[in-house]
Amino acid sequence: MTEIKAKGYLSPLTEEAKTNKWLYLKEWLCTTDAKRIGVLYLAFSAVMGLFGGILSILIRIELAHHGPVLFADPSLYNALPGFHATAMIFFFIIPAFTGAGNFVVPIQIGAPDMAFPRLNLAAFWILPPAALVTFFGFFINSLPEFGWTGYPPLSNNVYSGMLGADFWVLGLVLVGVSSTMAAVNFLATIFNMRCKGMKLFQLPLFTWSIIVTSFLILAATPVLTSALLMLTFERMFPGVFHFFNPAGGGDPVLYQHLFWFYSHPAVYIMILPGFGIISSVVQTFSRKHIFGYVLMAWSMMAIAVLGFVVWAHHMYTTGIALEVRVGFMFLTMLIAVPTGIKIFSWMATMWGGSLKFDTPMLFAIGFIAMFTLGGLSGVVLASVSVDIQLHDTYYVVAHIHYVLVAGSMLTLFAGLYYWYPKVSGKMYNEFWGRVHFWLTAIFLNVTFFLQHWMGVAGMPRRYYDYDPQFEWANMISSGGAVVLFLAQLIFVANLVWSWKYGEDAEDNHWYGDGIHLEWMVPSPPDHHNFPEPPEWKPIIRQHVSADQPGGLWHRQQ
Amino acid sequence: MTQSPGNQSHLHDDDLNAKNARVGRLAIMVIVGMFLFGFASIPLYRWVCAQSDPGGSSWFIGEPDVYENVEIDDDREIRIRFNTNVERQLPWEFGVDDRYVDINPGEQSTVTFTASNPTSNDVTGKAVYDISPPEAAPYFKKLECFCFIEQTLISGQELDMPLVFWFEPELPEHVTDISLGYTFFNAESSRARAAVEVE
Repeated sequence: MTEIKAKGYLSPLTEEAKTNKWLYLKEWLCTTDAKRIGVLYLAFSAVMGLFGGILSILIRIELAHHGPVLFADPSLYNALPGFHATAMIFFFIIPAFTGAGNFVVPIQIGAPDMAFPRLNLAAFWILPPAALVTFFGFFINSLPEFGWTGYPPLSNNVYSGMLGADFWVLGLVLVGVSSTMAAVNFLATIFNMRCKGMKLFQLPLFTWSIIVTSFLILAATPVLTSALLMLTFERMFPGVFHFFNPAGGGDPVLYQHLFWFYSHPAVYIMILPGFGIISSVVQTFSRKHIFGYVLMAWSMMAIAVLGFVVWAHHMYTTGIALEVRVGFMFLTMLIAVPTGIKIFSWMATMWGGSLKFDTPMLFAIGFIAMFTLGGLSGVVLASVSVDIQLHDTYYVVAHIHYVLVAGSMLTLFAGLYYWYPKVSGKMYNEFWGRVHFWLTAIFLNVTFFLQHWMGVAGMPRRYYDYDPQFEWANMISSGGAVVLFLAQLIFVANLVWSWKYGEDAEDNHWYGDGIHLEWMVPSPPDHHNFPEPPEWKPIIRQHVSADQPGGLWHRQQ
Repeated sequence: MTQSPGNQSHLHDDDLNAKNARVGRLAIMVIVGMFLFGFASIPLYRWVCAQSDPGGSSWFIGEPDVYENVEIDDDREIRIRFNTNVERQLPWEFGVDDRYVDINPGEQSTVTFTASNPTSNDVTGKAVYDISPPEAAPYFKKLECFCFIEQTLISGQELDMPLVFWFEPELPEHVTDISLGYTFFNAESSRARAAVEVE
């Protein structure tokens, strides 16, 4: 048995584990170290991301040609979009950001670990069983066909009596429990365990984004849980509970209200940590302090507050009163203001900076460009009259993928490449990183851009088949999706290969330009992050032009 | 708990544990509060709808209106379209004799709906209506409607059910087309609930 040689937190804790792989593995699976839990989260979400990606490829192959292609049975196809969305939202994006937060946040605030380490481990270990439960329908060949939204009456026991649907609902309840546990942990950690000198408005913006996200999870997720429980009661005991059944005085629209009361804030749960990552990456690779730091923090809070009062813009076609819809329309459009503040502040950070185009920065710039497109189509959809036409068409599909793939996923890649030297102590292969970026950026647009047109031309989403006039566009979209998926394998291979064979990373790897605490500790960090409690020297984030003192970091000394 | 030589003393600080527990308690209060809010939204939603919906919920309206001193507005004519649906749990057929009628506001009209029960069991159903545009709902008055009560059809029975109604002349000028959709639900499962609600 060869000895396990690893540095920092990766090193085995006991002498026995140094020579015994199984003990070392057990040490990882039962760890209460936030960094190791963070890595577990990321590994789990990578697996689920690939699973969700495979589902999306199946969808795109089926849609490549008009008529049946892959599935003779449309009901199998019907289940795929819902499972794809569930896998990507609940098991890929949200856990991946939780993982990044687990690794980075305690170090950034100068804490040795999270506030509740055991709760942290429990929150992680709920996820794999939850995934099994959620997708259990695959094993018993009983797939719910009501999409990821699960609207009754389609999702009630009359129209979706299959057992797989009950498992799906139960799985989502479990995921909700897991993410609320993680949120409580983050809040306690950040509020109580900041090191000396780390005032709230000294926190790195990534940590700020985790605070805001945690509040969103705390307030929104229990509402989804209650809605799902109502749905379960109604499914399990038909004739006793009539929450959503009009025959018993219920209202199916109530489910939509509750669902979107969670799921609209959920889109900010999926993007705000990404905003935080981009703020870190852009300032490091521009060698300038983030522009408008305080406003950046407040705009995240504004997005979070507004995020709770716009849910009905998903429900313009349910027949709610016009006055209500118009109110929600204006509130929705208002969100473009804090988001715009963020976009312009990132651009102002880059302006006059000493830019370095390493892979994380490429992803950050790609994100800013393409997320803006996704945001613009969001403003289009916010308009009541336009949305009546575009509701449940591919325009919505294009919009959600521009904000989730070109948004959340690109920020995730930026963050993973940015912190990879810190997490692994090794450097990934820069060439393949850039190849991954360019393939992703190009084929993302190949896949999703034409879907705007399909939607405007009237192709409905979630359908097994479509009008032949859309065939050429769907063919292009499917081809793009396959290449986009294959490009992600480059990413996985690069990171896995580099973990073992990469060059050793420096402590402050990015040209010595990292200014937050995670770059002040060794790569990889030690078991408890800091040998002794650090002290944060407050930084003044002033806006001066590059040729004035303090304008660029390298001129400060 | 992982231990290492460089372990820090403030990791097991009692003060810190108390502070963490306080944040944890506050967070749990928020979680429980929002969870309860989810369930509280059921009566809340019903109340908001009752306050803001023109005409109120059709489920709870079971009283005939009185046709007295209603002025007929001869100057305009409105078209009323009818639409019939049966929910899947109810094995009935349900139709209407006329797809639409043209009437003056204030004018009384009778339309006959027909329901039949082709099964070998007696089944009870309850009709719920929907009106579009919703702003016409407060002006929709009924002398007689099969939706007032539950309808029981014995095996093989076919039943003609009249709807006697009018629209009040105060109906806004721009409403020229009104759709009335009637949906029959299976009442067996919902009777207990309805008894509580209608009271």
